[in-house]
Amino acid sequence: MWNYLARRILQMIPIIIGVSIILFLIINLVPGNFIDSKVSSTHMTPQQIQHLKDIYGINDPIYLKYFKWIKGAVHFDFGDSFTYQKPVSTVINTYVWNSFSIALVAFILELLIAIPIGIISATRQYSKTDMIFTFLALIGISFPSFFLGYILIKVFAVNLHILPLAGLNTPGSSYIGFAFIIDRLKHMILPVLVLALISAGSMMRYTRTAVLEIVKQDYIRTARAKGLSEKVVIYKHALRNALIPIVTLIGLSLPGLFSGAIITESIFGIPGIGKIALEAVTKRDYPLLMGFSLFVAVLTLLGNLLSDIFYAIVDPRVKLK
Amino acid sequence: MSEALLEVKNLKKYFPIKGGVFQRTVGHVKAVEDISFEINKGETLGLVGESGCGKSTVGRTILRLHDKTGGEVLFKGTEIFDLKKQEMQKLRPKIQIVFQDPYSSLNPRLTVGEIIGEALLEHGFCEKKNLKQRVLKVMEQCGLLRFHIDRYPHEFSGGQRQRIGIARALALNPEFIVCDEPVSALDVSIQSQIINLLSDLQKEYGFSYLFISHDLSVVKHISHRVAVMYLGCLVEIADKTELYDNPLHPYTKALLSAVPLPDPRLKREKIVLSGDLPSPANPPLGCRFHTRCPKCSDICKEQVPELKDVGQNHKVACHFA
Amino acid sequence: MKIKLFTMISLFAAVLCYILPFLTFKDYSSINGFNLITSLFKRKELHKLSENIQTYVFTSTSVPLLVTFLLFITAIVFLAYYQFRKSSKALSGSLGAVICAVISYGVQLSNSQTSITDFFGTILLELKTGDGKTIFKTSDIISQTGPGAKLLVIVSFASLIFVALLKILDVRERNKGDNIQTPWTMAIKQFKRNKLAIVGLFLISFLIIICFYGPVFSKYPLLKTDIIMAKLKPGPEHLLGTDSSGRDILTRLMYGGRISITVGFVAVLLEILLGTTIGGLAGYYSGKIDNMLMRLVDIFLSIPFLPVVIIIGAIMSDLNIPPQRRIYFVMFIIGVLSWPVMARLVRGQILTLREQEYMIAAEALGLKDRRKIVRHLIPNVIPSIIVSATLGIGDAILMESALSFLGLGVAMPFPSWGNMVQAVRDTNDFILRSWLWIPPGICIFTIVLAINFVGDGLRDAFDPKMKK
Repeated sequence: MWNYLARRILQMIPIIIGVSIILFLIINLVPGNFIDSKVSSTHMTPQQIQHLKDIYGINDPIYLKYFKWIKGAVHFDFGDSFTYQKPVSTVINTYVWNSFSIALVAFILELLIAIPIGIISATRQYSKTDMIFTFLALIGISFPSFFLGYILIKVFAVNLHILPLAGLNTPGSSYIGFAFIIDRLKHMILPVLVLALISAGSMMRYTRTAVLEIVKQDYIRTARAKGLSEKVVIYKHALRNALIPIVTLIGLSLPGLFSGAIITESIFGIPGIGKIALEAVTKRDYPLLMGFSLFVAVLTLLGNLLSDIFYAIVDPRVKLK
Repeated sequence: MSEALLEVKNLKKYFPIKGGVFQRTVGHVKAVEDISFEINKGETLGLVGESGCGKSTVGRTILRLHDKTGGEVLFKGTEIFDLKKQEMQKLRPKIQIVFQDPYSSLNPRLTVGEIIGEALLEHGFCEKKNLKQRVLKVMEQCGLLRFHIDRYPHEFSGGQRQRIGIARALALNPEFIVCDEPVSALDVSIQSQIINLLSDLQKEYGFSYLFISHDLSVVKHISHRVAVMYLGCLVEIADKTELYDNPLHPYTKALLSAVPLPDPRLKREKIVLSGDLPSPANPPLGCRFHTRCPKCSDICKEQVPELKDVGQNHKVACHFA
Repeated sequence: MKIKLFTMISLFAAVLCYILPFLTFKDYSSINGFNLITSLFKRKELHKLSENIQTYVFTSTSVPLLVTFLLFITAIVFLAYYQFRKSSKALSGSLGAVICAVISYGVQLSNSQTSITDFFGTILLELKTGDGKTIFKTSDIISQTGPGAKLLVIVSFASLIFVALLKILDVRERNKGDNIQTPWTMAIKQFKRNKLAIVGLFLISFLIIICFYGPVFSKYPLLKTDIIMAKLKPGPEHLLGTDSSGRDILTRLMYGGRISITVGFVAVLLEILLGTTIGGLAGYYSGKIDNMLMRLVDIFLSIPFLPVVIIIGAIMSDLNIPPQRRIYFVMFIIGVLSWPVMARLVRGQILTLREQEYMIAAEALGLKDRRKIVRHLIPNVIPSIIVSATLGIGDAILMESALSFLGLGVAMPFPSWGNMVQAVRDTNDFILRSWLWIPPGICIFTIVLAINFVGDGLRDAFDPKMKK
């Protein structure tokens, strides 16, 4: 097992390096730089502007920029964000937990909806229930997230006035304790709903396919022939095996909980890491952009690793080699 | 004595096992160890042994479908592993193979006519306008009906599919055909049809066969000479009647004693071997059979027995024969 | 049979629509290099037409127009062959040619670089005003709403329907004989059983036809703004109301649909090309090549998609890329970032297929590499590619709409379903004027839903285990 981990981590290193190079090149293609956009309205002399640029290393040749950055990155120091004047890691750390809390709740909700529906759909293949659930799942997959978000806002916030429009807290409020939590929850409902509904569709389809594969096997027929009740057959025999692909999917999704949902956060005004990233693009905040992108890339690789490990743990046939 | 059509000398085939952090080769599966035999024109050599003893590997390596690890394979005096790619392709029509599984050995997306006629066109044996005629002729010989030519494999039964496979090999007018367990996947009644077909074709065209099987009674019917394999080694080889009447190697004796007799009243004394088949990655030292041999002694554990000629074209690899 | 007569008539009419302009204009300037082609058409003078029209610059001698014209001619030829030789294949050929002609006309309509002459419109207008001073402006041509263009659309579709009818009748007759079930016909049969998939197919065709050929019938040019008519509620004049600059929303929906759908298809095409080649090479020539290519795939897969796409969108705005060109960048980006998924899929399929016994049999038969790949591997990989590509189109359309919504894809004034939803930015519009942003959202949702229905149906149809 440790052999395997060591090997996977070794394999990850060249990939991370490759990704970092590509990201660096792309981001540096963005014309314009931070200093120019800030100083255009001030009265600084050209020498002062030049001096500022030197401090920030804006005029260095590109490979130099890259090496400076990568040296720091290895120590988890991604430089300071231009907009926030704080270390990038601090900035990410501040906002990532907002995203995480919403993503986590949405994820749990998604699993709670999708897996049972997937199982029911699979056990009643081709029945009306199955058709309806498949239809609903496909709707979930096809809805553009921003559109769903705005529709929900219109219905619940505008027309029905039940839920707040945006943000994580009612502005200008000072709730403490329980009231604070309720307020928070109220604000979280819509974004969580959007995220959960959209992902539940594909998760449900995945579960359905996985369970279908199992249910067609002969050992399920045997279990039924033995006279076991359908409940036992499904929940004790089939589910255990169907869980294998589902668990691997969960492994893949876990790191994604930290990377934020850029569009949803922008719509609902949630101060999460996704929204910060979008702003970083518009404000040309390179260090933040680079740090965030690399962060997400590493998360993706970790997700693959996690999912492979889960797979090996859950499936007794698989030996990690 | 006429020159042998096919000569195999000291053939070895090892498959590498990879492990460790860097996936280095940590061992080998010694599938085929030092096999030598000859096949003359118009002759059938039966190759028998348990599942996993390396029979199929021998068959495929002879046809250069695997790379060899050692030894020589001479077809009409030419070492086939020395041939360059183009020369090898020119040679292939003369050495053909019929596969075990009729369900996966035919491309489901080609018609019967295309499957059979494809190689004819490729090698230029036939012009496009004559192709259909030629294919129909081969099909008739193999017991397929004319209108089958435009059908797809999924519409046929196992026995018919095997006929298609035989027709495919036949179309190229080969001189030597490896039959890799061609009837193992078929019903007993169909088995006899296919065996008779192969036998008739041999009488008419003078093919040589390497007939690989684990079923001794089938082999008895069609072979002229029989070779017995155990764990990658050749343990005995003799003319058919000689082998069945006078087996010398303990393993052969045990095998023959296990063949069921059609008459339920007759009883045969069965020699039951103790122990399990050892792993070919870690074969026993000395005689590979010594762990299960009733006659095992010290010399068997240390020295590999050579294939000795004991007269009447009968060769045995045992210290006690 | 009457149908055959109608088919012939409509096909000839289509050809006529194309050929007449060439015959009647006296002077035209053709593009360099095409003189040989254009000189095939003789010119006759029509005296009543004004000088302006006669010297009208003729950029429609571009290749797509010629191709469409030739396709209609081909269709007629095939139809004649069918009539006299009763060859079913000729009828299929004819159907194929008409379909291609209709599609190619759709392509021309959506590519505003080629202007289709509106011959009949010109004549009509000239006859109406009759003062010999009719001047045609390029912007009018780009909106392609003249009666000539409309006539051509109607005639093309009429001929398509008739030829299709002929084909269906012919197939019905022939199928009274024996049925050879190829793997493809079995898949088609399975697909037909899936009602959702059939609905999806109709929805997609409907949307495509409306978006590509609909604007011809709309009286509102794409770019013409009219502030007085801004933000009107839906009514008899404007079926879906107008937007903030007074442009008709229904028309913009149709134009926007062209863009969104085209982006989806082209991005996936790119994805297929890149993914299949790389995945195929990696799968077939395993070993070092496989390792290298898979490392590359892993790197691309780890690149966070949305951030990078957004960054590139920002770059595009900075570099001041003109709005028309932006769309090509968007297609390119989506395709380039999606190919790893396809590559992985293709590679996996090939690795599985290589171990199938019929591949070993092909080796034993002495078939050359090229034949093995083309005849044995590829036909068995194609089903997965088709399913993946179909679903990929849906994803690409969603991607493009998200990008355009964020302002980083297709830019104003050119519409895309995504950037039309941007109307929500104005809170008043969001709350009070839902016709501004809800229709485009519904359109995105509908077409992606239809694509998912079809993709699902295809997946079930090709899956050997799913036989009921």
